[in-house]
Amino acid sequence: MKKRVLLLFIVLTLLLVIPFSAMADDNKDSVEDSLNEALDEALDNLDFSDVNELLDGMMFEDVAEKIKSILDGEFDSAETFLQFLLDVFWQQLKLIVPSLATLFAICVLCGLVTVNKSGFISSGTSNLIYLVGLSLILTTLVAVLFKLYSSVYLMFARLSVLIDAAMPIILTLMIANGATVSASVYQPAVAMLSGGIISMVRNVILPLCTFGLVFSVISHISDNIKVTKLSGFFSSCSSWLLSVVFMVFGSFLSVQGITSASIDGVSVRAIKFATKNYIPILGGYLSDGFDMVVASSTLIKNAFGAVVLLMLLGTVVSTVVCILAFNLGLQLVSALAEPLTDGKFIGFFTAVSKNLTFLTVLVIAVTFMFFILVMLTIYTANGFF
Amino acid sequence: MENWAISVVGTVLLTVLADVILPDGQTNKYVKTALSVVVILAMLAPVVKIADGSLSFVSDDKQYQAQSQYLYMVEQKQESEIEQRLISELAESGYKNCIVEAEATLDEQGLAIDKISVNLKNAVIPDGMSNILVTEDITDIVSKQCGVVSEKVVISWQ
Repeated sequence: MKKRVLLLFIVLTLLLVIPFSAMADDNKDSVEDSLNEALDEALDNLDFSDVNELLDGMMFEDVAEKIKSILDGEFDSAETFLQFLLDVFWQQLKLIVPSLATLFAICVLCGLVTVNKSGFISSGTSNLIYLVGLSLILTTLVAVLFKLYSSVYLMFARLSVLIDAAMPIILTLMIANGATVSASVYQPAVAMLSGGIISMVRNVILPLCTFGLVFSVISHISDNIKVTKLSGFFSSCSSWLLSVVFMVFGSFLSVQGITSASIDGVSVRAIKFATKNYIPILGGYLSDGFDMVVASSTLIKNAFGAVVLLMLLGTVVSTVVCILAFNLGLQLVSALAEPLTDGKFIGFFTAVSKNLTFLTVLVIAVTFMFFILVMLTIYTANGFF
Repeated sequence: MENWAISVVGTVLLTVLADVILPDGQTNKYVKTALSVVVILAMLAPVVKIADGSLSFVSDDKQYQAQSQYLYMVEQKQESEIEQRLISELAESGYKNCIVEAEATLDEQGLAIDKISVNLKNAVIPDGMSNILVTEDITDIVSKQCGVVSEKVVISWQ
């Protein structure tokens, strides 16, 4: 009897001491496996072909694979981004250095001619040489500026194509999450950005910026034709238009996005709590199929949003770096040539540099609008658990 | 745009060249004035186009379509989810072995349940309940669970 009691006591003690964790591990693995299966099935059913066509010059080659790597936690480090930026910078620098060197050489030669005006060369010949030098500078500068403005036009077109390719996927995933109100709000907002705002930038603001640049060039060519105020007028118009567009779009998106997300959140929670067998996914508990679909859609939406942001960066960075590099190079040429050449050339370069600064601001502002839109879609339809 | 910029800059260069080449005098002044007018006309050329309406700032309306293949997959899963929940709910209410088929549509407006069919061919019914009472009870349970009107619930016994 005593032995039986002792044996029972030992068994009870062992049962209390030894932890039971096998059941919880099975549940966690089951949820993880179910989620991975749901993710694979979802990725197989999504069509990324339109977005894959825009991967030239990007840091990855397939959108689905990049989404999987992001979901696995493999994200590019800051060093990778910096290296990519440096590579783009050196690449653009190699393209513009010959033009900058040409400008500097012409400025110095014309400056030498101006110095010798009262010496070996007559005034008329000096003026003619100055005119030739000015024509050469104009030719070189206008060629580079056309290339920059063309690349900006093309960049805006690519942004529009990127957003047109990406938004159907994001909207699909938002609808799958139950965020139908947000989807119906973002659809016109994206159309407004991709269609209306890009059109306004390409057809109104960029031409105004071009007018301002051309008039500032003209006012520095000839003393008889002064259009400095006209140049300032067009520059002001383009600045104001950009500010208004940015403010209206940002305000519209912020208000609509916040209210639609809260409406969707309430409606989806109402659906869930109407059923008795709702079991939350948090904490590693077993979850039902609906939550698994919503969870996989949410994860893919967020990862795809990150991919779109990377593509946005890749599309914009080469153009912005090129404009910045040329702008800085032009200011450097002005600084180096200032003691050696005529003040007109320096004023000319300074005016062009100011216009290029506005061009950079324009590109960054439009990119930021896209950035805000994609970030809002990432953060919408996430709070349903 | 490029053509306009080239024409304006070219006209200005021509003016500067004329200023350099022509000798000082009355002719120089008249030529410079005439060329300045030409430059102004060249600069204002786009304004004429805007007034004519040949420059357009309006873009086409865009519509984005969701990917139907993915929505169909989600729709199938949600139908399966609804069926499983209804089967377990009916079993808890005493109606075991019911066959439930849900038909739903998932689109930009959200998930809409079109019809829920409950087949009681092999179902185990609680004793003492008539068919009419069973039909009403099951319709009531399904309507409350799924938030649909009773007309969308179809009960069949074969």
